[in-house]
Amino acid sequence: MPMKTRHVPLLLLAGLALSGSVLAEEAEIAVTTAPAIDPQAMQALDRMGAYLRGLETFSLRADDAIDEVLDSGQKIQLTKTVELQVRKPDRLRADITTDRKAREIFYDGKHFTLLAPEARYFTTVEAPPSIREMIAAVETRYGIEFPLVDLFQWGEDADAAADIQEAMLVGVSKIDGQMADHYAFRQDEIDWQIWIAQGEAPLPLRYVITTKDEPGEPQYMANLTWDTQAKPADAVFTFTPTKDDHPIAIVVQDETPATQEDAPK
Amino acid sequence: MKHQSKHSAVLATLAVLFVGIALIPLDTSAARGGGGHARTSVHRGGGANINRGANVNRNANVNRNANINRSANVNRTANVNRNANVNVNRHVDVDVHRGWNHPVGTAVAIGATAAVIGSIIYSLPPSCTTVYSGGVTYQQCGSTWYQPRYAGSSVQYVVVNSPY
Repeated sequence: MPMKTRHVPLLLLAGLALSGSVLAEEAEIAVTTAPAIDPQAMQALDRMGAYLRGLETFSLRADDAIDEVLDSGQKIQLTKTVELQVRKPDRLRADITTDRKAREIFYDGKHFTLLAPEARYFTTVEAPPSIREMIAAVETRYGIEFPLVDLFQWGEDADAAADIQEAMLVGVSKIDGQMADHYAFRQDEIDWQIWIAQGEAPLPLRYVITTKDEPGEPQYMANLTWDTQAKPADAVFTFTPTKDDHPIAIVVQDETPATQEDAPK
Repeated sequence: MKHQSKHSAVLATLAVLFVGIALIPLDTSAARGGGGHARTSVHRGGGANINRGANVNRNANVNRNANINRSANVNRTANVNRNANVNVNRHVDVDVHRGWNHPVGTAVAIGATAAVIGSIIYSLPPSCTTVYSGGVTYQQCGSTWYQPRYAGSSVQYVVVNSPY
C-alpha cells in the first residue's frame, strides 16, 4: 500500500505531462480539462484487444457479481457463473448459473436458443451470422443482457478508446497465481478497472465497472478463468430438443405492442 | 391499506415460498438498465448500454427491486406500494384493483379467484401439469391454463383459455 500511494501521484503527473503534448498535436480533442491518460495503459488495452481478436476458439469460466441498488439506497449483490465456449465468428455456447436460476444459450451461426434446463423450456429463433451481431440482436429484440459482451468488443470497437478520459497503471498484482497489471480508466458515466495477465498471453483476468450515473454507484465485477486451448465440438453449439423439451415463445421487447412474441421455430 | 395488512400475513408466508422464482428478473442476465443496476459493459455499443435508452425494457424490470425487498421482509407496506408500478401499461392483472399487482401477489390470488385471461404470473401454483398441444406448451393448474414464455431470460406464465 505505501508503494501504491507513493506512485499514484507520480503517475498522474506523468500522465498530465504526456497528455499535454498529445493535446498540443490534436487540439480539437482538448475540450476536457487536464485529462490524464497514461499511454502505457492505452497500449496495454490495445495489446489485450489484439490478443483477444486473434483468439479463434476458447472457453472460459466467469464468476461475476453485480450490485443492484434498492430505492432505499441499500445495495444488494448478486452473483453468477458463466461457462462460455466460443468458436469465432459464429459459434457460441453459454451455460449460466445464478443463485436463482440456470439458463443455457446456444448459437450455431443460424439460430439462437435459450433453454431453461430445469423446466426444459426452450425457445429457438433465427439469428444473425456472427457472434457480435447476434449479441446485439438478442439484446435489442429480446431484452436479454448478454453476459461478458466486452470480451467480444475489446479490440473490435475502434471508438471505445475515444471514450476513455483518464487511464493509469495502478500496479502489479497476482490473481490466482498469475501476475497481472492492474489498470484503471475513467469515462463519462463509468470508471473501470482491468487486470491483464503479464507475459505472452495478455488476457483479462478480472474487470470491475463502477456505474457513476446511478445512485450508490453500483459495481459489476467479473473474474475470468481462461482455457485458450479449448476446441469445442460442433455439437456444443447446437440445441437439439428431445421429447422432454418444451418449446415456448419469447416476448419481443423493442417493438410495439409490447406483447408481441416470436413463436418457436 | 386495510386490505394490504389483511394480506400481509399471506404474503409473508408466500414470499418465502416464491422468493426463489419471483426474484428471477433480478438475475443480471435478465436485468435491464433500470434504476440502480450496475452496467456490465464498458462499451457504449455493447452490453447493457444498447438497451439503456430503451424505456420499454427499463420499465419491464421495475419489479426487480421490489422483489429484493420482499425477501428481506422489511417494509412490506412500502413494497406493496412500489409494486403498483410493476405492471403499469403492461398486463391486465386481476390484482390491480386490490393494490398489489405484484407477480407474487397475482400468484396468491389465482388460487382464490378466477384467473383473468391475459394476466401474467412468474411462478406457478403447485400441482401443475405440462401439456403440449397444437405446437404450444401449456401448464394446466386445476382449471386454469397458463402459457409459459420468455420475457428477457425470465419465464413468465400468461393465463390463457383452455386449448380443449
